[in-house]
Amino acid sequence: MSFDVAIGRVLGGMRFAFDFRAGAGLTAVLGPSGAGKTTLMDMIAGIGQPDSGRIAVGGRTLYDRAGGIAVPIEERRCGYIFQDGRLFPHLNVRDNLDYGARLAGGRIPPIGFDALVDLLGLRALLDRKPRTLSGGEARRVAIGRALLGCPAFLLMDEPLTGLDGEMKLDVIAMIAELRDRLPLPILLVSHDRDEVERLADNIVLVDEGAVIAAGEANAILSDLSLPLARAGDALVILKAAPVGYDADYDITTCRIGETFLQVPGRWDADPLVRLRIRAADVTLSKTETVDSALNHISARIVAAEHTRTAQMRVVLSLGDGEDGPRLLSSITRKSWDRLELAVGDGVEAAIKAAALAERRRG
Amino acid sequence: MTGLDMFGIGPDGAEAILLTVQVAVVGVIASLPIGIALALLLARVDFPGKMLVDGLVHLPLVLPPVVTGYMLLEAFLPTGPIGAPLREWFGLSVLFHWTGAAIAAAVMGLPLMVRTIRLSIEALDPRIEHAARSLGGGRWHVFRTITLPLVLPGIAAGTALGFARSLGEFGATITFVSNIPGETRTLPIAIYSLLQMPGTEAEVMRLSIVSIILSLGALVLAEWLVKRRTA
Repeated sequence: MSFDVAIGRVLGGMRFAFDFRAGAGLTAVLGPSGAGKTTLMDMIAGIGQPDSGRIAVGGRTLYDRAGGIAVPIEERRCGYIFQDGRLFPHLNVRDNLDYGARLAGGRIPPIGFDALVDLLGLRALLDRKPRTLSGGEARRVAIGRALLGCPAFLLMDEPLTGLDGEMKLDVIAMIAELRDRLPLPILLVSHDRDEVERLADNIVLVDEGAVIAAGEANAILSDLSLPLARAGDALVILKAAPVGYDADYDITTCRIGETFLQVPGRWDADPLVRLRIRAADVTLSKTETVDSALNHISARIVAAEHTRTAQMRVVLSLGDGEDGPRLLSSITRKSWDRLELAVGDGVEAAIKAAALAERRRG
Repeated sequence: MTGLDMFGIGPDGAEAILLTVQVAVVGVIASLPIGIALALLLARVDFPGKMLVDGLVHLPLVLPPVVTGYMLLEAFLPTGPIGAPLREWFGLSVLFHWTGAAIAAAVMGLPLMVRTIRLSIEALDPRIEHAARSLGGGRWHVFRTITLPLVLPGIAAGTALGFARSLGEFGATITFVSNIPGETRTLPIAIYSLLQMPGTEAEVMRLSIVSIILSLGALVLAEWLVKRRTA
């Protein structure tokens, strides 16, 4: 378990009760403003203690009320990337970056100073003072400072808020890179669904100071009892392993269990490819069809529900069984009835490969 | 002090000027750690009796200086609560001694110093310190590398204000350690003493001008340091 949290706290007249476990990789905490996301982060970092419960990160207990454990902030080794940057105003960028590194003792940071400075594009900023930096620059410095402190885990509080267009995509790509390259548990807090869908391995949904649901991203995104899967632009994340590349057509074949997907572009250098597949890009048929869609995969219907009057939201399990990775499909109720579909049926799902191409990154 | 001769200031006046600066410098240096600690305590810690401590620190600002001087005298008498252990353990007495004048200067300057430093600590976002601690800095390390540098302009301004206040100290000093030439006769007391004698108008004027220059210098310095902090 990367994060094992079960804590309660009453703060400012609000009651917080956070209880979730999350596996390896990046865990995204998604919820509206005021849901208590930052309060949760602060308690994991050791800024403010819970009234009860237990916090363990990467198997190390940081707080245990019953056991009398409360590891001080400075010994938790959390790389906390604050929403407001919190750079040290009297130090230049270089000294800000170095602050944690100097306290790290003999530990080697996950990425060296020079490599990090280049990765984050900070070379030209090293002698500048924080007040002369733009929002995006300050954010990148904050990320660098946290990483050079040799953290045992990363906490990112709304790392993309206030960034626009190009810069936002850059930072998303960078966080994705950190997630894929570093073996660190990462907890990312966000109110933005798109951000979470691009980055999360695991999702924790919070509202009003409590956890609504927690689990693997694929399972949470396809759970019809949650608002995410019912949204008009709902999608799922699938992690696929590249197994072959066809240079003639510039198409990479990727494998998920017994299912193979053809993805435009060359991706066979990556160990895992993250596919974001929108419900609207998946159509269903009962028989094997031949059309322009490149991917026809067999799947089983495990749940279905009306979303709007004309629409059905269908949850599919890849392969023959019911325990495969989930896929969402959005079809009209009329098609559902015309095809005489029912939960438990095996169907063929067609995914437009072109839709996969634009959604692979991030 | 031969340098002062050319301004027409006699040896007695020069002695008073030097003594005043000495008393103010020692008083301010001695009170600075206490001032910082009190400012930190009042700005950052909630404890029972905080109002009382706050009130006590500010008392010299509102009391007639004569009363503050009298309280100091009572405390530092050989039989007093501070004077007795001082004499027993160290064989020291600050009465009629320039160190007593420095104590009076420190006590009178403390409220201004604590107020100024406290304001600068309260203006510092504690979340900056949280960030430093999350990077592995212990409390003391963070205080030294983050808190102190960021409130340094405030500390400097508080010190300058306390220094200016010490230079002008009269009532508490003369009540506490009397008026002894070369020992406790600081500039204001020297001017006061000269005024008791006929034919000293010129020397009074010269010493007054020196006093104005010294105090103004300290105030301008304080102002400049405060400006630098807010810039």
